[in-house]
Amino acid sequence: MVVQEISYANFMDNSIVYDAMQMLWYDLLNSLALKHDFAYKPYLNSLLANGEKDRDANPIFNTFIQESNRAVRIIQIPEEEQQATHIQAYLNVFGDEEYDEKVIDELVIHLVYSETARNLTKDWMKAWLVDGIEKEEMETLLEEQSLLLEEAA
Amino acid sequence: MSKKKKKRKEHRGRWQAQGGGLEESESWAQDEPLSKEDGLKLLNKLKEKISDKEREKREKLFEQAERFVENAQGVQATKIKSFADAEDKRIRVDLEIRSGWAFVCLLILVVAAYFLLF
Repeated sequence: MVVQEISYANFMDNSIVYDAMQMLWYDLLNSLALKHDFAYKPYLNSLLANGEKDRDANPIFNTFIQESNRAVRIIQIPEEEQQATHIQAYLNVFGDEEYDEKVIDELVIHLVYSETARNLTKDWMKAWLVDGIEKEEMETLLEEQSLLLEEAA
Repeated sequence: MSKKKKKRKEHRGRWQAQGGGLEESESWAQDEPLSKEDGLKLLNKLKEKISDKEREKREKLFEQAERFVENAQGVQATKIKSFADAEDKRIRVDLEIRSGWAFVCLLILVVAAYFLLF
């Protein structure tokens, strides 16, 4: 049997490729959840007003862990818009303390898909969602690893 | 003691300009959906609130955000859209729609209000 490898390069132009790309991120989360036994759910609406799926990749993936009140959002950039090794992340607070019962601590990752970006995303997700490392430590980790990646590029 | 929350409105959200030491925002919290017109007004208010230097850094990002609003056919919560700088993604303009609807056409709002009232 010949297994054809999917090219994700045109994920923004082809809804089937987009969905496969998205599935890859959810598979990555699933593998972490199974291994470390945690429950998750999306926290963002993935539909447009007309009921169609929102496929602008901003974000392509989102997940929320109620127990820790932490979330991950991935924004995927097409290759032609950015250099191929691109991956950057930061922490963000979603919600307004003045109006909302609860605010959510988010890890936001902007990337162009690559094996390196995928592995780094998995490491960051684990550190943030499973290991539950402190915000300050997470910020240092993101900065250090992004710098290493820039230097390697 | 925890801060007292403002009375919850059905339609809530905010624009934020963040990154590089900046953290400014313009929020809405109201009983009716936010119109496109008011969404753009709030975005402009945010633009005027920040320094020339910070605005220049985000010029393209504000344009992308404006385009998003102009093309929207109504957006239902919960949504986040990040319009980020190509080089440094921390430099960004974020849109948060936390509850209800935003960027609906004024005409739809008027028609909906008419049917609700009569």
